[in-house]
Amino acid sequence: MAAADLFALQARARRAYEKGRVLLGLRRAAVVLPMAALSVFACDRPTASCVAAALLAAGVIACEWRGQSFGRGARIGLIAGLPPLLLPLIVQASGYMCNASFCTFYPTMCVVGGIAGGALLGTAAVHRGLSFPGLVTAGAVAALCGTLGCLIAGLAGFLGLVVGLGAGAAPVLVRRRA
Amino acid sequence: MDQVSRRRLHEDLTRLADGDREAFHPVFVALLPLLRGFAARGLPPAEADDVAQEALMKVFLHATEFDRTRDALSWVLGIAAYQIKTARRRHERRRESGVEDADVVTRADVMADPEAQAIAGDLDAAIEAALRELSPADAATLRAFAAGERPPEVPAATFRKRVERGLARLRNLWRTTHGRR
Repeated sequence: MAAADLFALQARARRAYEKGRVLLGLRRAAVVLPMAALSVFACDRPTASCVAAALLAAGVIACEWRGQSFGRGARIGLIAGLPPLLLPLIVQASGYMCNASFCTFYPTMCVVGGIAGGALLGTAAVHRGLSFPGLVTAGAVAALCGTLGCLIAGLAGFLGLVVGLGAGAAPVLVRRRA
Repeated sequence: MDQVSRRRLHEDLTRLADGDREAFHPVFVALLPLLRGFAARGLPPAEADDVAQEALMKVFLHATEFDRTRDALSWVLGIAAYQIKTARRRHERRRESGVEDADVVTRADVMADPEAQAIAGDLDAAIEAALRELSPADAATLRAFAAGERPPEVPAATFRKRVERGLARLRNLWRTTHGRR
């Protein structure tokens, strides 16, 4: 085989590999669809839900395509984001209605979900030896994922989620470094 | 493939599955000769290289799905074996339909060269003479087969049998007249 043919074949193989990675990203990002549907139906903020879901899906696809610690971080983030996503929605589905002008119950649920998600994130990061970029990716993906549920509490919910994630992950990560 | 190369392939493919692009070149270099050799064992040389390349593309397309708990070489050869099986089926279908792409290409190439054209003309005349020696039914079957046609009233399986029998008689005749196949 001539050198030019060999290079062409190698280029084709490389394109096939990159295509495979994009397809992997699309498959993994498919889990965002049911999350987005839940958020749209439960949170009553369809535009914000769609924007957060689109950002989350794009982030997951990009991280899985890039691979290594980014891909691992995205997978951990998707799991760690489940408690803050589901907890406020479960509370709402259980029939709790907030009638006060400023309701602290849903933001509290976001903090609690965030702490649970943060603890999951920290444990998984320590267990899988996630590097700093992977940790940042996991945090960002978990925050976006949790936002889909915490939109129910508006900006307060988002802030509660971020505080909770930090509070949940910090002790595990600090203990690991010590 | 020796044990050291096999273990190295496993490590490189694991890294590639994880997204490490540095592992691409070592995997490519290790797999190309391996797949060519494997395909050449199960297919004619003209087809083996194409199938090896197809298998290589499949391996890289599905590299992200590689399970590190499995043996890399077995996984790669499994993909290649499937490609070879598919190629054989394709080949069989082409034979059944009576159209051999390779023959068409070869004839087209021959027509471009005047010397080869003269030889091909002599060969055609010799084949025509041999066909005249056969029974009219055999000659008609082989002419239809050469044209890539099948009489509509004859079922495909029957036609295939007739072609096989006709070719066997033509081969015998050719051997007695020209001394070789």
